[in-house]
Amino acid sequence: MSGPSCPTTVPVGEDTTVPLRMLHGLAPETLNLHTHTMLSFLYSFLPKPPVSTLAPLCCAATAAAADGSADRLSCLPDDLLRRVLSRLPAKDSARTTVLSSRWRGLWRSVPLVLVDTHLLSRGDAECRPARAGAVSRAVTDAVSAALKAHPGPFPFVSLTCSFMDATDRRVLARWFQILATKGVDELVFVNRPWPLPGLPLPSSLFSCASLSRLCLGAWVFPDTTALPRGAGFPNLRELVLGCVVMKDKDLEFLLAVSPVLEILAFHGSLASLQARIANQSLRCAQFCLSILEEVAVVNAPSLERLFLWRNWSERGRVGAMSTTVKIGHAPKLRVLGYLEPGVHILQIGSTIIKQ
Amino acid sequence: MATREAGKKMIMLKSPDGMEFEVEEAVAMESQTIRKMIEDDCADTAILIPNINSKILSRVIEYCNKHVPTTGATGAAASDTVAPAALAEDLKIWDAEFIKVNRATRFNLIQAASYLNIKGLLDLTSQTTIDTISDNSLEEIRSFLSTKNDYLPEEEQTIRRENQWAFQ
Repeated sequence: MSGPSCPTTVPVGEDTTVPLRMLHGLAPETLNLHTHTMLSFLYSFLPKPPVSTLAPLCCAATAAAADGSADRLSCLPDDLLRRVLSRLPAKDSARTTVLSSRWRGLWRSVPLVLVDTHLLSRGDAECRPARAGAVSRAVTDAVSAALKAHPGPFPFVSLTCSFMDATDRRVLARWFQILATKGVDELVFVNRPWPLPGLPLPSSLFSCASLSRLCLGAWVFPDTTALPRGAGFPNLRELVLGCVVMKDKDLEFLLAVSPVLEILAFHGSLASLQARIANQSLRCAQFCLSILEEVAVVNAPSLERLFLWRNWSERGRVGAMSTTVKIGHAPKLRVLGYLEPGVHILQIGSTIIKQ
Repeated sequence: MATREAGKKMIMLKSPDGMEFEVEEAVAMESQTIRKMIEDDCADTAILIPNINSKILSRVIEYCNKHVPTTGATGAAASDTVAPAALAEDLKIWDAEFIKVNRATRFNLIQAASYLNIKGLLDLTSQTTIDTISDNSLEEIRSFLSTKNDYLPEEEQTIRRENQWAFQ
């Protein structure tokens, strides 16, 4: 397939850091359409950041700028200037430090919303780099610098542009150390590994106690066996896991150390999962596009909705791909779907419904 | 003076330059500051709004009039239900027109929104300022904000280096 007559799919002028061997045949990402589909699916459900690089009112602002008045903005009290800063993308707010000495300390005193797509050069926002290279590397470095420079806290951090492999373990560890120490409220972290699933997250993820919303994509979930006592997510309300590899016991641990968790969503579990649900606060659980042997709702007194969609099982012989759904203690369960005959085996108490 | 007109409770707002504005209580209560005064029963007579001249106050009232949630036939308190999409879109267009004012007026509106604690107006006025900052070069921002650069050249270089990632 890699003969010299093969048309190359790498456009001229593309990043030279792509290994030469990839210049022949298909581009690596096209080899795994499944991965591409899963990532697109994940991106479409990512939480929207509270700040935007779009400036819908800029016409109004420039139209009104033609009058000459004194330094009005600097007459405003610091808390109003902070309010203005808190709504700017990270790059723009950091740049205000050079406006004047009045502005210098302000940036550091405002919680930082960090969205790595906003760090791409103008016009590229929301357009993630297609492959690993100088652009993605520059974004990764800028994220490291911003996390280091700002004292926190970080109300919203979204990192979806980096291609992290085994050589980035130290960067990864440093990021989580900073996020844990300086405080992060909502975290969206999607890797771009090829092939999937990529590398494991550091277990210091469990030190980010301030997390209220967590969305992880294309990672191997950290092993929870060696975690120190007290590790957990006392504030976590929403958890979305996409294209992850996770062990049954780690999910069980995660549910056990998240006392206020309300929403759990799996968008693609890449390793066979036997989900055991025991959690006091969980209200909604969703499993879709996952390799799922079994979902057992053992004890979920607050669970209202359980969704299953397009999962499959690798157990047993080919053709017998049914996922077992066991309902134990779930007194508030009102919605259970989508059950497909032959695909799901439903067991409520001791009653088993197969076909 | 609280009066009644067509079954709706009215509130009198006074600006420091002596103008009086009679507005519906629900409209006035878009301001959390005034809401608190009314709820604490401090609003029997006209409420004096210090530091906000009649020109700005009339614009603020115009904003509140537009943004007050529509009440049901029973005249129930403002509901928290989300406005239909069409209504929200209409408000957005109205807001964009409303904020087409000169710089001095906009800064006065930020201050008024801050004092009266009107979240929507504060968001709108801050957002317009933000759009100015995020869309222009530093020199343009300085000139727009009439901010004087009081750094020595070497100082500015140091600060640029500290946050080099933001200037790439």
